[in-house]
Amino acid sequence: MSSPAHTGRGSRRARKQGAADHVPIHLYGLRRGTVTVLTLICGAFAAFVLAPIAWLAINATKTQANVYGTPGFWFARPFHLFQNLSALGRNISGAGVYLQWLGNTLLYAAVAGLGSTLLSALAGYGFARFRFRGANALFYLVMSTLLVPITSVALPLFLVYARVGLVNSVWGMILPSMVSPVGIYLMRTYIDASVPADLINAARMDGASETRIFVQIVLPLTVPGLVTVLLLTVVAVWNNYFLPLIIFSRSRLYPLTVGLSSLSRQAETGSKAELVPVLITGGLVTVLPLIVLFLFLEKYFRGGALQGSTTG
Amino acid sequence: MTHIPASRPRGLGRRGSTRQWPGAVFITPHMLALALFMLVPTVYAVYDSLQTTRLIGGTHFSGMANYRAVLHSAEFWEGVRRVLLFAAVQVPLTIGLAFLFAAAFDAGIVKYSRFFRTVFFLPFAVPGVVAALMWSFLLLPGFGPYAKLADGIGLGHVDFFSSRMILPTIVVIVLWEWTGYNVTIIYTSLKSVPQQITEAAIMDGARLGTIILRLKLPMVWPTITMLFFLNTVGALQLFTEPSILAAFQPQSVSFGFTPSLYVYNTAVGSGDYNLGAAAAVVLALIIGALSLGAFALRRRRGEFA
Amino acid sequence: MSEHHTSRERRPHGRPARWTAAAGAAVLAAALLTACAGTDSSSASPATGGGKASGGAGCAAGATPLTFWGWSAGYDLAVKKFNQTHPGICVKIENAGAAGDEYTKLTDALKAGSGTPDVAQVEYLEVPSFVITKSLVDLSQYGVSSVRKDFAPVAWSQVTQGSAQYAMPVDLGPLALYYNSKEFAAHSVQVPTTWAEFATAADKLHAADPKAAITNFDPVSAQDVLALMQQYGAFPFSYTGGATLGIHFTGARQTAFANFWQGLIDRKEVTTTADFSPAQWADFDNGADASRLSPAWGPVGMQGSIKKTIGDWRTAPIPTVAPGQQQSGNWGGSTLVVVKGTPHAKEAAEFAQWFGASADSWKILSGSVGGAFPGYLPLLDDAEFQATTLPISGTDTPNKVFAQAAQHMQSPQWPPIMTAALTKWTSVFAGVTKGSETLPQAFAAFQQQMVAYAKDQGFTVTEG
Repeated sequence: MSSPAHTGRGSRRARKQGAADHVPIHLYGLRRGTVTVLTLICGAFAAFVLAPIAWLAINATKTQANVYGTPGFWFARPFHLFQNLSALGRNISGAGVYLQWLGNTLLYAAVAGLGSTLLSALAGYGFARFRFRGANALFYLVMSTLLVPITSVALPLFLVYARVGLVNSVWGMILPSMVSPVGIYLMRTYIDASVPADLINAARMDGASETRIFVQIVLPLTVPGLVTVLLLTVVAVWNNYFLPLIIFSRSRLYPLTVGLSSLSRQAETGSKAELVPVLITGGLVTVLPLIVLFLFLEKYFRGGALQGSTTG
Repeated sequence: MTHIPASRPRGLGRRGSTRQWPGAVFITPHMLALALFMLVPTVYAVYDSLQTTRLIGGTHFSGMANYRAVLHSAEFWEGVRRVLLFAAVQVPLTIGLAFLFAAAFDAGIVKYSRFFRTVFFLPFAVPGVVAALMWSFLLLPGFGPYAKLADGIGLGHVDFFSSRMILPTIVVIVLWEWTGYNVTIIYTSLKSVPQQITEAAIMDGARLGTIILRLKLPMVWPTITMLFFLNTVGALQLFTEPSILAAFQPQSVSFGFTPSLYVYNTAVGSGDYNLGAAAAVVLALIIGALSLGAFALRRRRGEFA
Repeated sequence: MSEHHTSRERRPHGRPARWTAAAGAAVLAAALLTACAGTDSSSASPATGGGKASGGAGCAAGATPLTFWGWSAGYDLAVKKFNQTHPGICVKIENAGAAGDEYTKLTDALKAGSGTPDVAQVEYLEVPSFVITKSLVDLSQYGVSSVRKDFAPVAWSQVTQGSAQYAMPVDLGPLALYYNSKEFAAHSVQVPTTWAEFATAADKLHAADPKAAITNFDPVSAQDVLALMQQYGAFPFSYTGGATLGIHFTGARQTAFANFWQGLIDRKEVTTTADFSPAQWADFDNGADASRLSPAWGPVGMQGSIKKTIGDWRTAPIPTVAPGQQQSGNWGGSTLVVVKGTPHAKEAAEFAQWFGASADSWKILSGSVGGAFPGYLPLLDDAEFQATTLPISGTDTPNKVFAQAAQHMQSPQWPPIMTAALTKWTSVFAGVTKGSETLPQAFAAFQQQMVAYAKDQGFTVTEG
C-alpha cells in the first residue's frame, strides 16, 4: 500500500456506487443476532457515557437539600433550575462569579488556541520542509517536553513569573499554552503529507518570497490540520487545571476548572451558602458549549482531521 | 503499512539546500516560547532542588540531599508503583475497548453507529475537573445513586472510595473520559484501510474476526502505538481526578497517592519547594526513561517514524 | 505510507467537507473572539484599578488602595460598607481561594516576593505559621489593642505572641452539642452533660436502633479533631514563639481522648463519615446520626443541606470531662492579618480593626449572608443576637448556648508548622476511617512524623 491514489480510488468507487462506506455486511456471513447483540453492547456503553451528564442536567434543577435528599436520577420539586442559573451570574459566598470564569475560559482558549495554531504551523512547516543545522535535535527537544509533567513546571514557572510581573496576568496563562508539542508534531506530519515539496520549489522558481509561500500555499493546503490543532489546543486550555491553579490568586481571573474546584472546596468546607446546586449547574453549563461545538464539528472529526495526530 | 520514508525530507533538503535558513526562522517563535515557558522553569526547578530551606535557619546549598530524600521516600515510590499499575490496567483497557468499538463501527456491524460514535466522543468535551466532580457525586458512599444501585442489586455496601476500590474507580472515570476519543482516532485510521483489501480477504474465506485482528489491526498499529504512548504519559502524570476526589473523601487519597500529587503536596501543601522540585525532576526522569525505552524498542522494530 | 496521505483524497465529499470545516472553524473563531472581546473589556478595568472594582465602588479619588484577600461569605459586603464610611481608604477584596488554597497562594506570593495582598483573611491556626516566616506586621504599634476588651479572651490570645499582636480576630467557632430532639426522645436518650454520659447515651441509642449512631467523628478532619482535643484538655501542641515547639500526641490526656473515641468507633456508636459530605448530611437527616458536635457557624449551613428534620435540632452545651465543668473547644474562625511588604500598614491596620471590632462590620458579618459567629463581645452578649431563632431549630435559640461556650475555652497554642501538619494529617488519619488502624495508632504515627518534620525544619522539639 504504497500509493495514496490506491485508496483514493477505492473510496471514490464506493462513492460512485452510492454504497455505504463499508463492505456490505452480509458478505461476512455473520450469525443471526450478531448485529443486535453488538448494538445492545454499544447501547449499554452509551448509557454509561450519558448517565453522568443526565445526572448533571437533572440535579441542576434542584435545591441543595433535594440534591442530597431525593433520588439522583429523578426530578424533585421545587424546580430550581432558573434560580441556579441566575446564581451563575452572581458572586455566591464570595467565591467568584461563574459567568466571569466562563468568559475568561473563552478568552484563554481562543487566544491560546489561535496563537498555538500559528506557532505550530510555522514550526511544523520549518521542520517538515527545511533541513538546517540542529533541526533534528530541536525537534526531539520539542517532543521531549511532552514528558515533563505539568506539576514539575508550573511551580517554578510561577516563581519565574513573579520576577517578570506575569503573576495574575492573563498572558501568564495564555503564553505557555501556546507551546504545543503535539501541535507541532501534527503540523509537521500534515505538511509532510499534504504540501508537495515540488509545489514549493516551483513557487520559489517563480520568485515567491518565503512568507508568501507560507501564507498563500502552505496555509491553504493545511486547513484541516490547522483546525485540528486549534480544536486540540482549545480543548486542552479549556480543561487545564493545574497551571491556572498555581498562577492565579484572583478569582476574577480563574478559568472554569479552577473556579468550579474552588467552589467545590468551599461547598465541602461547610459554607453557609447553598453552593452544591450552583456547582452542578456550573458543571452543566461548562460542558454544554463544548458538546454543542463537537456536534457541529463532529463531521469534521470524522473527516480525518484527527488522523494526522496519531499516525507515526 | 510502512512509515513515512525517512529519506524524503532529507532528499528535499539536498534539493533545496540553498534555502535552508528560513526553516530556522519559521521555528523561532515556538522555540522562544518553549525556552521561556518550559526550559527556564525546568532549569529553575533543578536549581531549587539543590537547595534546602528551613523555617529556622534559612536556605543553603545541599547538593543531592533532596534527591536522596526522594529516592528513599517510601511514599513517593508507592505513588510511582500505583501509577504504573494504573497505566498498565487503564491504557490497554481503554485502547482495547476503543479498538473493538472502532472495528465494529468500521465494519458496519452495529446499527446507529453514527449516533454511538458521537455519544462516545462527548466526554472529551467534559473537563477532568467536572468529570471528577460528577463521578464523585455519583459514587459517594451513602449518597451516590451508583453506590445505592450497587446496594440495591445485592452487591452489598460497596465503598467506591475505599483503599481497595479507589484505583478501579479512577480507572472507570478515566475510561469514561477517554474511550470515545480513542475510538474516534482509531476509527478514522481504520477508515483509511482500502476496502479492496477487506473484499479480497472475504473472497479468500476469511472470517470477520480474522479480518479485524489479523488484517486491520496491523494496519492501524502505528496509530495504536502512538495512542499507547500518549495515554501512558497521561496516566503517569495522573493528578486532576484524584485531587478532585480528595476534596470529597480526603481519606481516600493519600499525600503521595500519585507522584504528581506527591510533588504538589510536598511543594505547595507543605511548603517544601526544594524537596518538591527534586521529586518533580525525578518524576520527569522516570517518565523520560520509560518513553525512551519504549521508543528504542519501537525503533528497533522499525515502527518509529 | 500512513493514513494521512489519504486523508484528503479519501473524504467522501472532498471539497464541500473542507469548506464546511473551514466555515465551522471560522464560526468557532468568531464566536470565541466575540466572547473574548466581551470579557477583555470587563476584566481589564478592575485589573487596571479603574472602574468599579468589586467592593471598591464609590471610592474617592486619591484614597489609599488596599488589596484584601478573603473568602468568607459577606466579606465583600462589609468591605463595601467600609469604603463608604472611610473615604480615605479604598479596599478591594479578592478571593484567592478558601482556607488552605489561600494560604498556598499567600505562601507562594511571599516566596515569589510579589503579588502579596495588604490584608488577608487567615484562620487562627495558621497565624503562627506566617509569623515564623516573618510575613506579618505587628499590629500593636498601630494601637489596635485598644479593642482587646471587646473580645473573648480565646480569640485574642490566639493572635498574640508576647507583646506582639499579629492579627485582628474576627469570628469564632465554639462547639456545642447540636442534637436531633425527636431522635433523642424516640429512644428516651437524655441530653448528656459529661463524656461518660455521652458514651452511655451512645450505647443506649445504638442498642435501641443498630443503624443509629450518636454522632459523627471524622478522623480525617484535622480542625474538627483538634477542636475536640482542645475541649477535652488534650490539645497536642505547645508553642509560644521562637524555635522551641512541643508536640504531644502520645501524652496521657491525648491517649485518653484517642481511646475514648476509638471505643465509640469500635462499637459503631459513632460514624466516621467525611465532614460536610453529602453522606454526612444524609446521616443527620435520616436518623443515622442523632447529634452533631457542631461549631457555632454549623447550623446555618446544615439548614440548607437537610430536609426532613428541619425544626428538630436543639442546642446544648458540649459534654465535659468532669461534671459541672464548662469547657468548649473552638473549630474555625478567622483573623485578618496585615502582610509584610505593604506600603500602607497603618491604613491596613485601621481596616482590620474596623472589620473585626465594629458594630457596622458585625451587623453585616453576622447577617443572613455572612452568618459568622462573633468573637466580638458587644454582639456576643447582645440579647437580640442571643435570641435569634433558625427554622432548623424551631423555637430554640442556638446562639445563646454558643455564646456561653465562646466564653469558656482554653486558648490553643497553634504550632508554626500547621500547613504541613494539615497536609500530612489526611494521609495518617485515613486509616482510622477505613478501619485499618486505630486512633491511638494514628496519634503515634502522627507524633513521629511531626517530630521528624519539626526537627528537619530546625526546631527544638519537646515531647510527652
